[in-house]
Amino acid sequence: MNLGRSLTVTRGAGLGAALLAVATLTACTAGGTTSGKSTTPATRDMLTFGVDGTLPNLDPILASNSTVDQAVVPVYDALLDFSPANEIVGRLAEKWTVAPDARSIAFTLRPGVAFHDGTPVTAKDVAYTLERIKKLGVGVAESVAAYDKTEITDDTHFTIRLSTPSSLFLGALSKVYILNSKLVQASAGSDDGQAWLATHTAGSGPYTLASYTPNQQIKYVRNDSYAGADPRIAKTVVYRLLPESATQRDELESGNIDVSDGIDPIDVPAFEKNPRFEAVRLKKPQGLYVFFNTQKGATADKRIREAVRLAYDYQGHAKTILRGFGSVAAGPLPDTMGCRADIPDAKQDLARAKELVAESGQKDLKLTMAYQQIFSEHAEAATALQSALKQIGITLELKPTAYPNYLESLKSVDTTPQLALLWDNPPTPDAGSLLYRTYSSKFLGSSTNYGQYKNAEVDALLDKAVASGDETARCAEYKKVQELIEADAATMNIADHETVIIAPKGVTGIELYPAHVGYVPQAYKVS
Amino acid sequence: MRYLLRRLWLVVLTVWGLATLVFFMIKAIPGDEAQSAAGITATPEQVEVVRERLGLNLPLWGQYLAYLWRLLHGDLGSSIFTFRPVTADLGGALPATIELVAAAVLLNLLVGIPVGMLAAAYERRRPDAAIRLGAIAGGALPLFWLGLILQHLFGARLGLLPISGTQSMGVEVPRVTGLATVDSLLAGDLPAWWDAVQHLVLPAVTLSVPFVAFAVRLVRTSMITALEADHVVMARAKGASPLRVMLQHGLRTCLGPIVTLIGMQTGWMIGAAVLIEGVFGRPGVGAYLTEAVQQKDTFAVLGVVLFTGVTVTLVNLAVDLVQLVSDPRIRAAQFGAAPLGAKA
Repeated sequence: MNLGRSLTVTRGAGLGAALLAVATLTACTAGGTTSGKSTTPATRDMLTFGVDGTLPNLDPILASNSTVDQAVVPVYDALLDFSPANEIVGRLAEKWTVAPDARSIAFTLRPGVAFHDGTPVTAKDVAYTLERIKKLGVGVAESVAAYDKTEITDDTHFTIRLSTPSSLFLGALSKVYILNSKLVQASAGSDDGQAWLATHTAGSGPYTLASYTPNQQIKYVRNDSYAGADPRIAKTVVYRLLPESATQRDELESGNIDVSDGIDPIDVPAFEKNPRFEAVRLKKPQGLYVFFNTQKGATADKRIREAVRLAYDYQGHAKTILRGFGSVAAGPLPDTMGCRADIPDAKQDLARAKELVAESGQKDLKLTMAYQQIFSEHAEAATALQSALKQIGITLELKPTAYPNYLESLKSVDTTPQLALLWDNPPTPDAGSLLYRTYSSKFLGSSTNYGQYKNAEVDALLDKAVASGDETARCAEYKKVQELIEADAATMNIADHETVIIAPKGVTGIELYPAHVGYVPQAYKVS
Repeated sequence: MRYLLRRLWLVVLTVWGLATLVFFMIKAIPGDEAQSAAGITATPEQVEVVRERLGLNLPLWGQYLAYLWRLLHGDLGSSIFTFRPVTADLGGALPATIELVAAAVLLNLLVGIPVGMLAAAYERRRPDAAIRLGAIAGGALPLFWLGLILQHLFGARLGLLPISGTQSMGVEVPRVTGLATVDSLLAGDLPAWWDAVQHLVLPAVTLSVPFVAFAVRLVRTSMITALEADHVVMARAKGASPLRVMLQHGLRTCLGPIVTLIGMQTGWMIGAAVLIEGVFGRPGVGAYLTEAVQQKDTFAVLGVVLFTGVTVTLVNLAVDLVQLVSDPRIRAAQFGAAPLGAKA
């Protein structure tokens, strides 16, 4: 879509209903779940999902946390979402118009949509939700920091004004779940409803909350009065917290849970052969990277960065460490994202790597890499890189680091690790959301410019793209940014990840919704 | 009474020391709590708003004093992630942990003491060798691995016991105490009670194994020493039955170290329960603490550590009092030659 001119995107009732239907998932479940008894799912009235994160809070303001997001996505609606095709589609919003200067967005709400208590969803609720986020400043607030105010025209028409031009704001609204302002204000107390919303819901989504036991279980019941309700989705959805992969495997085999995305890759082939299950591979909006300190020390030399990149066995990583559940990275954006530049897959070239080290004049070079030892992929990749670098004459010291400590180290160029191995997830599926925070020098010394990267040309392109309402032009600018970053060897892009969802045979609609890392149960159709 | 007051005063001092130590340890961990609460990409302005709201803009001593003041009023502060009072969060999480630890302690008593006595009774014979071998193996098994093996074998393969959770799907009883076994009894729902007990077996067995193994070895050694004492030889010579010799003359003499050990183990079990709860998907303090540490949620971590510390301290106090009552030698050491309660 071209946002160069004032653009109106209309999603008619058909699309709205279709989206809501897509957003309405199905599930079914094991019929009997008596203790330890191996049962075959007999009905599709209920789907039980194994969850390997935590279930500590239901306040949708914390949806920037993927575990909270998957807990609230069945019960809330946002104005917009990203479709599996990575396009922005309306949920509560029927139409939206982005101003050419990217400083405001005019919205029209779908008529006739109501919260679970029957209260109509109005512009006032949208304004309340955004003002609450602005006031509390936590969770998704970071993604909508450009929000200034909401101007309400009537119940279904309003304009969101931004304090600075931001083309990223529209995509960020996919994580802004609209609250029933009347209900929250009635229950709020002095904390803007934080304590109340931690254990209650005030949404308009395809499911209602039936029960919630923190860090154990959440039960949802289908909202049959939901506009565009899909009768093919399960009547009841349950999330069960099962942190261990082996426990999820055993519970799946025993019929006590129906769906799992936390199965160890080594166990997946057994489920692929099991006639009761379907193993669906989905790309995951996540990549593994090594970020170099581009400002100080040996890694400030581009030749050293390039040599390190050329030393690693990327194919071996995808095949052995990821056991085939991932692919070699091609550029700084995960392969789930749009606007990717045409960058070839990373590959090993030890001869060229040795040449580069020699050209740099560095002898007996020692480097240090921070990594998170608790993650097996990190531990294995760190060891593999250590061995690879030894072949080109570089000694790599591995330094296990806790994530908060790593973030603290980024406050200064002097303390930023020479190399740091970490996963990164884009805040939203918009390419700019990841590129801007990671490679703009505006974020130097913050906890997102991991490499202390500074390139005036990249800065100019990113600033221009973020302030532009022209999507085509933005996309071209993002591609150019990726090429510049790649040419600078700013990061070592190792692998893009896949996830496997094990579900009962016959369940359909299991797709990647790029704004949501976890389950989107209203998409699972069981009949 | 003076002895009791002195011990209670020591409990208060211990808790204060623990609270202080943990508070400053948390503060020493690199990472900005306000940044953690606001999110890694929050703007500096957003971080400052959160800092002020959480009282993190006060100097360190100010934060510490404010924390102690709230503590004195029974307020553990609010979690920066759940936004709820830590006391409320703990109230939700603790019952499952207490239930698990209580079951494991019960197993420890019911298995550790009799099996240790059995080994002592058959000293250097086959049953003793087998028990010692089992105790060594039990003490060496990693809890995490043991839990996974037990749930795979008895849950997934044999289908004898539930694999995880506290109750089966569809089994619901009104929450009164938060202990599934107790609440189902209060509701008069025996099938639900049996279901809850079944869910408790594997995690409790897993948690208790290394502690039982240690208890067995201690009981065995203590009993062997006790059974060699002159008064026991005399009792045997006078025709006392083997069971009477074991229970009255042997076990009673070595109850002191056994009670001490069980008391200490109760505290250790709370720490080990964190791991077991993760494996068995139980909603106790383990999951809460894991999340709190990851989020650098100071007050939540402090709350859990304080709970553990207070529990250990109180259990130790109870152990000391039990020993005081049951062992005249300790009474004599504390109060002089006169027995407890004797008139001067």
